[in-house]
Amino acid sequence: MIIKEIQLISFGKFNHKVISLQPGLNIIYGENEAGKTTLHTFIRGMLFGIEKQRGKASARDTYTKYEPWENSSNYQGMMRIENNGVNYRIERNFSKEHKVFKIVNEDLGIELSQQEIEELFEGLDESCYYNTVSISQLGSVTDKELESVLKNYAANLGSTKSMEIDMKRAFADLDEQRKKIMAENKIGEEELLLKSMDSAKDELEITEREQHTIIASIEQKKEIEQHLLVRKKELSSLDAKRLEELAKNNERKENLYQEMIRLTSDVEKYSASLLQIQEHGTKLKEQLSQKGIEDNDTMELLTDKVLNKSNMPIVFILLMMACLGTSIGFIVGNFPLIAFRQYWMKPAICMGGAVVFLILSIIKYLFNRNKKSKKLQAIKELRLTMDKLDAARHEEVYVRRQLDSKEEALANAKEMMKAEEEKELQLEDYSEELRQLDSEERENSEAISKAQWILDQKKEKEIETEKKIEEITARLHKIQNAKEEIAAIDAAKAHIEEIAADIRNNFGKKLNERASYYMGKITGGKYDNVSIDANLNISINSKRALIASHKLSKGTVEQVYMALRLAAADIIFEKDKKPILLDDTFAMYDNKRMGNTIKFMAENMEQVIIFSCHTREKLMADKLGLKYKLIKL
Amino acid sequence: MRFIHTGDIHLGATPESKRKWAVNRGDEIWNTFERLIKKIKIEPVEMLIIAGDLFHRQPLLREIKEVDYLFSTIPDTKVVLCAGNHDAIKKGSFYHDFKWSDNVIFLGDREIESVEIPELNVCVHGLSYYQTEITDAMYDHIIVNKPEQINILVAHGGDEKHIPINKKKVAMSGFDYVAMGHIHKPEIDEKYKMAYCGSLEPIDANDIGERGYIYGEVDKKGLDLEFVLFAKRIYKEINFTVTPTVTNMEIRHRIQDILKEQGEDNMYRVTLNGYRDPDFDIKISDIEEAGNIVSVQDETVPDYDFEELYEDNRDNILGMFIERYITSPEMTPLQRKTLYYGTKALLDAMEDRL
Repeated sequence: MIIKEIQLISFGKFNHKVISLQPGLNIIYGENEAGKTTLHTFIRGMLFGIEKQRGKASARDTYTKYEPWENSSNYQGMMRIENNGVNYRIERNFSKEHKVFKIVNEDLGIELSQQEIEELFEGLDESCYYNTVSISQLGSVTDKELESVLKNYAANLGSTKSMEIDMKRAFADLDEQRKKIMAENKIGEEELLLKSMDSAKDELEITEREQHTIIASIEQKKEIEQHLLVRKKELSSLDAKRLEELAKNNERKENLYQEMIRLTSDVEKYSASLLQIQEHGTKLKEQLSQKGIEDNDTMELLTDKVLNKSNMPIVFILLMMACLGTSIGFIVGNFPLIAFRQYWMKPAICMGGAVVFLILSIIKYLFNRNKKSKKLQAIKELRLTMDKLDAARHEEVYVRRQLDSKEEALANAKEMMKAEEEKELQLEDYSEELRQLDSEERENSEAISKAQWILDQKKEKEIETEKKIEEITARLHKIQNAKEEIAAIDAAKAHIEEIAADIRNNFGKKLNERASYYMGKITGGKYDNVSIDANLNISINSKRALIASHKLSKGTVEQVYMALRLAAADIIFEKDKKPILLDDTFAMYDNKRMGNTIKFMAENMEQVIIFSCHTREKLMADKLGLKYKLIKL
Repeated sequence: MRFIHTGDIHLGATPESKRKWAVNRGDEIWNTFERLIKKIKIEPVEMLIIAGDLFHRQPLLREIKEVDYLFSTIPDTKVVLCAGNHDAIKKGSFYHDFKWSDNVIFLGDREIESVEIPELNVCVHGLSYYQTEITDAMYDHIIVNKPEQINILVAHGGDEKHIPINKKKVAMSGFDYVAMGHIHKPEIDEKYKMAYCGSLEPIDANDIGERGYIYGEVDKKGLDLEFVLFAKRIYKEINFTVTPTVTNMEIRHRIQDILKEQGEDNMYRVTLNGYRDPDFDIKISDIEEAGNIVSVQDETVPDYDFEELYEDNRDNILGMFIERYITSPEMTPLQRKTLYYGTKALLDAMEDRL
């Protein structure tokens, strides 16, 4: 692009001023106040317009500064440019009331559309213009400020390329999204959740362990239960035997008891009858002793006495015998019998005597017998008494013997009873142990039930805890998902930064190359290695050492600044070179470098417009024999 | 012989319990099991097979008691069950010495155990889990001693960590039926005379589809199987396509319509897809209020034409940013998200400038 002509219809101090420019070197010379800056501002205004600012700021803004004093509707101008061999006319009215902006293709006589305008400018916007093609001197800024200007300048160039995307805005957008997701999903609670997860897991382990302990104790108790059951069974069978034994024993004892009762009553009975008998005997004895009979012998004697006194009347029987004998003798001597009759007197008398005696003896006998019989009767009675006594004595002996035997038997029975009882005592008694086993078993099974109940409780707790864990897991899952979103946001941020850095690096590399090239040309080869590092520190690599920008002379810094701008313009406007405007740029240059620069520019740039209040540039151009157009204001 | 084959009942599970509409889900699982027993009481079968995982975890004593009570109400039905990986008989388990009702056959051995039921001329085979994982193929080499009986294998597992099953090998043992549990999706394999009954009620959101039990008749001549839908609720999937003009309320209303159509008792996993306005925030929590909704997966994509954006912004940061993603053959989910976030931020920043 070449600016061919500028026409200030009414702008600042200028009215209907036309300035033609040519390709290559143009030097616009004017003393202070001649209007160089006005011209410069006009060119910029033609390209980008001049907006009136609002409020107080408007009092001193560019618009107001160059507003014509009269007839502000004429606050306008025109600029002819050539781009790729096509001529364009830019028309502008800056006046806020009559704002006009159009570009006409003069070759075709048609107005450009907005899109065509954009294509024509090819990304040249106001900030870009300031950063590249329009180069003024830094002059008044201090070293530090200069450095930061350089830095800013390089950063702006680097990060956005030709198109300015508000990176801050993009990052703020991403950060806001991030924040929103963080808040919605309560990502901040993650740590807390993880902690409660840990504690829930611990809880789970504890309940599990507790369960194991309970299970172990249940198993132990079940074993005990088993033992108890076995022991109980053993004891029960033993006890059954014992009871059987006991039953038999009891039967025997019962028998013995019955016998003892019988024997006791026998003994009583015998004792009673013995007493009776003894009483009876004593009575009899008394009776006898009244009769003088002390004992058996006296009795025998008495009996004998009675018995020996014959009750036969011996005298009368003898007499009867004698009479009978006599009679017999009489008969026998006088015999035959018939004769007897005859002879009966004698015998008869004898006979008669015999009969008398017989009768006498019979009477006597009868009398005797009666007497004896009475005596005998008495004796007999005595004897009976004696006999009774005897019998009583015998009986007493018998009864005594019986009594003895019964008593003995009773004693035996008692002995046996005692033996049985001892035996019974000797039989082992398991009932106590069984009872104890029973209660142990009961206790044990109660303990088992209780343990199982506790186990159930623990299990329920475990389920509860597991549910809790599930819940936490779900929430963590949600957080995880949100984290993925955040990871995506972070990745996007990182990627955009990376691209920005890439662009910067790329741009930086090219910029370094181009800036080094220009620096070399300006300094006549002294410095041909300008570098901008990742932190945007500008330094110059001289042949001897790397020199940071703040250590360079002001002039050299100005030159670096120019080299950078030229380099930036080269990179941004690759296809279509733009005119370079230099506004008192060479003030700090020595002649040599200025010469180098002007020569280089005149020979290599499409169009260079130098604004200057000095004649050095013109003289130098003359000295170097360069072709240029001089415009004197 | 008529039988009902069920399993994976997971008593004690409380899926979706954080959802308002599912606070009683745990009870529902119990109730469905109770309903099954009642059904058997009315329409008797000779055998009820429960192929493991009757409980979701170690049963509590009172839980076993409840179950046994239910079994005792169908004394004419033989109940055959085993412990699965979820309710494995661990130390201290109440399974250990529980006294079951007379009609219950608990296959509580570590190794394959065969129990004859002479009155049915049936022999059932099976084992119980004593640990959560068993990697030995316990079911692949069983020898059937009395082939003249109806031989039924009650098997739990079938994946790598839970008794891997080689169907062919199992079939070679000559079972008249293999009643399988562990996989929650019902599946009948008539060729090998095997079936997974599936869970009686779906237990988690991955159990999509119909759930119930298998009714069957078996004798030495053949096998007849039929899947019977029995679950109170089932999980269903809804794919909802979002357009750039849709609003949150519209999404909710339209999903509610779909729920009405597909049964409001059922439980739904919603996936949103399609293109949304890049500035439109889908309110997941609103959609979750639409009914028995288990989860809402937002797979919608902001309505960007990245190709076009790329073409328009080739030489600026946005273009350079997009370039990396659209040139990579396959984007990871993270990359996709990164692309959306970055694009949105950069576009917003650019718009701001205009």
